[in-house]
Amino acid sequence: MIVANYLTSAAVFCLGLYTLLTRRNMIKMVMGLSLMEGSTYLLFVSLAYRARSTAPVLLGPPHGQSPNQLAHGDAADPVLQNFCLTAIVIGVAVTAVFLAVVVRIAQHYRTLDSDDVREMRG
Amino acid sequence: MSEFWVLDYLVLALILGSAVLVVRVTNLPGATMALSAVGTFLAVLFVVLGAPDDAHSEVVVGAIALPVLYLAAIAKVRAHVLDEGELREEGEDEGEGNAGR
Repeated sequence: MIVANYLTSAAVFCLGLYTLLTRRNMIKMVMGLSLMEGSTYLLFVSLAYRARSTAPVLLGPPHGQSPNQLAHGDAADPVLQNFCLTAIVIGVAVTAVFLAVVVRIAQHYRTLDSDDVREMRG
Repeated sequence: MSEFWVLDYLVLALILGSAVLVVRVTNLPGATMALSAVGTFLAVLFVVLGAPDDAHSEVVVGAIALPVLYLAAIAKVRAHVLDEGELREEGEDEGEGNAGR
């Protein structure tokens, strides 16, 4: 069942959140954020999939199918797949910004341990 | 159970295993490689689910660009800030050295 994809997505999201909350190494925390991003990609593409659907490529109908069948649910939902594509592209840019900030903090405080960055404490 | 679901569950298990490795491995370059494996298996799953365009960009971004970014950040911190040789997380099996790895 496609529910397994949703459950795996939730599990990967929880793993990323666990990494973010429990690890003190800042690069490992950014890795947790990347895991959470990956779980949203998985959720989007799983939501776009319909039973026995093909890729939404409109060069021509798949073998043995007519264009009418494509309009009635034999192709995956292209809207959610494009959400996923946008999220992937934005995700790599956001991760690059996070890593640049981490490197700057490490250069300033001479450590990667978030507990040693005292001035950030609320 | 058709072959679609066999492939789906297999790749889901691989994704989950790689994600657990990202959390468990304390060696930072090793965890980066596990993250790269997550991206690769996600791309394979996108092909299975009928999203080849997403698979394409996920291979480029998740399996290549993201690990390069992480490795560049790790190398930058290791070379210019810490000077400790092998970079690993603080407080986890320190002193046990490289036993089992």
